Formats: sequence, C-alpha cells, structure tokens
Amino acid sequence: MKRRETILVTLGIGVVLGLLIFFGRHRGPAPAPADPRPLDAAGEKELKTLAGRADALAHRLEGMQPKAPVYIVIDTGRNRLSLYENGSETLQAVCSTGSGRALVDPERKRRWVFETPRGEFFIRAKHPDPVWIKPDWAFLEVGEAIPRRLAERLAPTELGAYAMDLGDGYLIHGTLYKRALGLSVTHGCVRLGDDDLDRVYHTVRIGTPVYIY
Amino acid sequence: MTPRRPSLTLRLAPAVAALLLLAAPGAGAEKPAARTRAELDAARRRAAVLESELALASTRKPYLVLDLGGRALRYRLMGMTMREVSIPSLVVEGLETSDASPNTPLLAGIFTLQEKENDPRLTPLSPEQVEDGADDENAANALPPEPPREYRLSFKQPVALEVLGRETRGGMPGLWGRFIAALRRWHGPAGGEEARLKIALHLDPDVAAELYRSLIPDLRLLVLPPQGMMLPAAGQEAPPKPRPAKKTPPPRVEKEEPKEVPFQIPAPEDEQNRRDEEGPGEPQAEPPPPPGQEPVPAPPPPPPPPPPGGGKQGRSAPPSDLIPAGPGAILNRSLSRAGD
Repeated sequence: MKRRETILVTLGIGVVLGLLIFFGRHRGPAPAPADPRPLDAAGEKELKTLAGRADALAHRLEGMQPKAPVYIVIDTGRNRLSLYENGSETLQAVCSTGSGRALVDPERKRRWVFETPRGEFFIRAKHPDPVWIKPDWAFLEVGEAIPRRLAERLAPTELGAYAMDLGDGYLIHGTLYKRALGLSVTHGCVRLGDDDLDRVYHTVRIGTPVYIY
Repeated sequence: MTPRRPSLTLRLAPAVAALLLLAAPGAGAEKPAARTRAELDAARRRAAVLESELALASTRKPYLVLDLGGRALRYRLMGMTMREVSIPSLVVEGLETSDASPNTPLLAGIFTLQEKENDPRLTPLSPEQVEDGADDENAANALPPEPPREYRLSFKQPVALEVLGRETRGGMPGLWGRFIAALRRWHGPAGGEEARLKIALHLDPDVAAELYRSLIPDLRLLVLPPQGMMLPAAGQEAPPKPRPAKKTPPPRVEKEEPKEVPFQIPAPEDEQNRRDEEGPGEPQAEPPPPPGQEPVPAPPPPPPPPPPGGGKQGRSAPPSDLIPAGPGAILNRSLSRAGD
C-alpha cells in the first residue's frame, strides 16, 4: 500500500513537471541563425555606410544629453526626486507627484486631469514663502462653493517654505501632508519634505533643467 | 685556447630578425576574416535603433524601450537611460523570422500608447465621491488606491501589451505560481484577434505598479525584436525626422536672493475687496516694493497661458472658463494658476 502511494505521488510530480515543460516552452517562429556567409562587394559597401551612419547618429544622440552641472530628475513611478551635481546624484528625495485622477465641473463643463507633466522643463522662478491662491478645482474637489473674493482663496502655508516654478502652473514645493510623501496624490505639482525642499531650493538656479519621466 | 664567445649583438641578431619579420606588414598575420551577413544584420539593427532613438529623443518627452532580446525595459529621455528594469520572463506572439533586408520599422518599431487599463483619468470623481472626501489627502481613508499589478495596455497600432506583476517565490506557492504562469503563456498574451503583435511581460509586482504610474497616453514605446527576428507590419510609425535642438535658456544670474517677494504678500483685505468688486480688468502694474526693500528682479519670460492650477484642463473647455486674474496681478498670475 505504501509503495503504491509513493508510485502515485512520483507519477503526479512527473506529470506536473511535464506539463510545466510543455506549456512553458517557447512558442512561435524560431529566430534565424546568424548568417556566416561572407559579404559581397555591395554588402561590404552597405556595411561601411551603416557603420558611419550609426556613429553619426550615436554622436548626435549623445549631444542631446544634459550638459548642465546641476539638474533634477523626477521619477513619477517611484515618486522620487534626484538632484544631480557635476554628474553625480547628490540627493534622492521622496516626493509626491500627480494622482492621474480627473475632476469635472458639471456646472461649467470643465475637466481637469491631475497629472504631473513629463519631459524636459526648467526652473523658471523661485519663490520663498509662497502664498497659494487656490484655483477653482481646490474648492470643487472638497464640495465647497467657489469664492468670489480673493482673500478666501489665499492659503499662505499650503506650499511650504519654498516653491520653484516649472511653468504652465506646475511647481516643486513643500507640503503640509508629510504622510502622503511617496504617494501619487498631488494635482500635478511635485511636493517635497521640508529638508529636501530646502536643499533643492538652495542648490538650483533659475534655468536649471528638470527631467520628469 | 677556449673558443671566443660571440658578442651580444651577434647573439641577439636572430631574435631581432624574427621580430622584424613578424612586424613586417602582412607577414605572420592572418588575412582579416571577411565580413559576414550576420555583421551586416547587426549593423542594420544598430542604425535602425539609433535612428528611432534620435527621433524620440528630440521630442524631449520620455519614451520606453522594450528590448525583447535583452529582456529589459528602459525608461529613456533625450537619449539618457533614466531607469532600466529587467524582465524575468516574457511571451511574444507575432514576431517573424528576419528576412534579407528588413526596413527600419521592422527592426525598431515605434508604437504610441492609447490607454492603460483602469486609467483613473477615465473615471472622474463624482460629486458624491467628492463629498465623501475622496480627494482629500487629510482624510485617513482617502489616499489613492494602489495601482494595479496586472493590467493591459492598448496602443494606437494593433499591438497589445500585458503586464503581469507576480511574486517569484520558492516552494509550493512559487511552483503553483509558475504553473499558472506557464498556463497563461500557453494560452498566449491577451489582445484579441486584431492585435498583430502581442506581448506579455512578467515583472516584479512593485515594478509593475511603478510602471503603471509612469504611463500616460501618447507615451511612445520602442520595441526591439531579438536577433534574427523582426516585428510584424503592425502599423508602427516610421521614425519622425528629428526636430532641431531647442535652445536651452541660459541660467539667469541672480545677484541676490530676495528675502521676501513683495507680490506674494497679499494686499490688505479692504483693498482686495475693492478690487474684487471692480472685476479683473487689465493686468495691473507690479506694486512698488515696500520702503527699504530692493526691487525684485524681472521674472523669467512669462509662460504660455496656464490652466487654472496644477491640473491640466481639458482642451474642450473654453478659454472663458479660466478664472480671472486676481488683483495684484500680473506677477501674482503665475502663482494664482499654480500650486499643488
């Protein structure tokens, strides 16, 4: 009886392994093997042309890479901001980036998408002690009426100690909501903790490139 | 009489002669091997990749490079690799055996992301969710939901990409997981009949979630087939002509960091109320700095008209929907639109 069970278990394992091998094998056409045949004169000429072209393209591609001594890289997937100085990463900070959510204003048929923009940007302005003038969506998303008076829009502490303008209304700034750092919760801006914000603010200059991906 | 030993020069002469013979052009060296067609194929691939990369890099937007042969996914921007993740396993359907002289799009295909599965932008917050505090990060239970670990991506071309974020565990759970993955491979990647190229990527769950967050519509994906294979004709875009390089604005030299910025200090409430009643009107001049304070240097070139706030407003919204500039005004405008 014991021996029969052993045989059955062994057979079962064998079947499972066989299935794994069968199902797990590569399907589709096999890649063409490397062709060892020598090139004719036309092939040699094409190879030479391609090599020259590839070198030129690689040179141009390399020329697009940043030359600035200081630049910022923001990873929206991991919510990380990196500061580079002279080619070395000198700071990696946890940040918050856009939530990717959308908000609609059914009354006035408006729609916002709270996404951090991607690509190459530059620090356009630096603001110490920024005062945030809350836009309409900031009231709509908490179910409040949009105020008519400017004074009701002012939020003097919301953006933290500093703000750096990336253009199109997007900023790198501080936050009151420290526990949300590392999460994608913002309306498109990039939030940093106090110490990191201080370091970044005092390192970058107007014109410093910012790369967001 | 002992025989005289030859001088050092004479003793070294044979060795020197041998060295000279070896160094002589063509002597002793094998005839260089003829270039093969495999090398030509590799050169074609390299040129195709670089051509596509240069075109994508010139857009100054990030793009993804999916190297099927190298099993790697690279986040690239302007020719820089911002991040590279390895792909533990992948399944591809639709690749073809490479023929004699494939075109560039078959060796390096550019595809444009149309939509990611369950994209939050497709389901705007409803008034009920807003009232429940769905977007209030101060509410303890209102943090955004975790991004999915398994999702599908659709492209403007007939291409389907499926991301499967799975733990690679040992023991029985891992064996079971691998068995399920094998079954899934057998079934083939999702994408329907119309997709000519179907790809399933098995990634670490955290990496899959991070990738999900990075994906936005219109992101370009550059797919590189493995050696000896080529992509099917799936409507991939020919590499656009690289744009001329954008001139980088030179950093402005700040003479002195202003301690306070006058325009950020809101005007007294009485004055604000009076301005509110007057309406937006024409942009006003910058208010004079307070006594004893240095004038603030001129701001950088004004950006194009921004959306109200950090959120990007839909293109369908008419310009009249933009909130009017507040008092204070032309300089305040940049901040009034900005934030969070």
